[in-house]
Amino acid sequence: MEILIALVLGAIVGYFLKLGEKGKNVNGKLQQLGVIFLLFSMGVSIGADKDIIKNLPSIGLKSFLFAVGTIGVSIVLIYILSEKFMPKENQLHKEKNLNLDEETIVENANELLNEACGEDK
Amino acid sequence: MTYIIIVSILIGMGCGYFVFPPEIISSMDKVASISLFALIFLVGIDVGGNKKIFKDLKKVGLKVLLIPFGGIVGSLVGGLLVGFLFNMAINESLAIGSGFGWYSISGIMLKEMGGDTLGAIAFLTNVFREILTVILIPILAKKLNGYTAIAPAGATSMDTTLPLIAKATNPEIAVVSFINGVILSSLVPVLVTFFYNLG
Repeated sequence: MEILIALVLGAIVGYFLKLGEKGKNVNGKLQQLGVIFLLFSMGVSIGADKDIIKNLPSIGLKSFLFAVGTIGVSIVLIYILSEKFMPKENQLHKEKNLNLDEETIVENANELLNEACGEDK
Repeated sequence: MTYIIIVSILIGMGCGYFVFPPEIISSMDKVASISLFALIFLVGIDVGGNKKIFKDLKKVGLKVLLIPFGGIVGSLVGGLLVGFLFNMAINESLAIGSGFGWYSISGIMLKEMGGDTLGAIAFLTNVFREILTVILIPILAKKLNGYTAIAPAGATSMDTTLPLIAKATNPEIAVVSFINGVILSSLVPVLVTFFYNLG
């Protein structure tokens, strides 16, 4: 639960700090470093744990099915919800009756894509 | 980055299996706990700085929240079902489900809270999820609809898999995809902690 304190503190700082592009990049790089170190150390624990190494095939199977299950139910739910409630694609802004022309949307999306470039989960 | 991640975990496994004595491993675990707090703090900064999402939401309408809603409920229910299959504790299967495809975070968090095996399952689940997502996006966009192409991506629909979704659908769906990713990513640390601690 203490982890949540770190998250909330970070969110408060992030809300007031107003990081620019550069700051966001630095933050992203620091996160990558942290992730790499933590995954390395997770690898170390796993490697040192002879039980896990022995059970790796069954862990792999479980993980694969978890991936299939979470994806599968998400697909079914989102498909049903979108067919029932969402406007047809390309009609989003028309339904909202916004004066949002095609160009702004494309611009917006390009901006998003630029931001996302080089980022990784 | 994906390669770096896989390589660093493999090198780690090699070190743990062949090289490192137990003392190093236990002190490394302590450093890892502290780094995890620092990492989550940095993730929090991203979450708090995401003010643009409210503008985006206004633009496309609150209805789009149905997409992240479906993704959250779907991942949790899916995790629960698979957990039943293997007789796993409910809190563990829900916590694995709430990784939403973000493999670097949920695996690390669950290793810290629930031990090596649970961490390994959470990590691998989300690695598989990303691989399947890359395969499924174009198929779902073509056979079902654009919104459904966002479904498998989960938290990654704002960065890693956003270019794929944008390519398979259209700019409007890309905006929805981004919103979906921001919401799910922000919830990963919260829900993983919450559900694990239910048990």
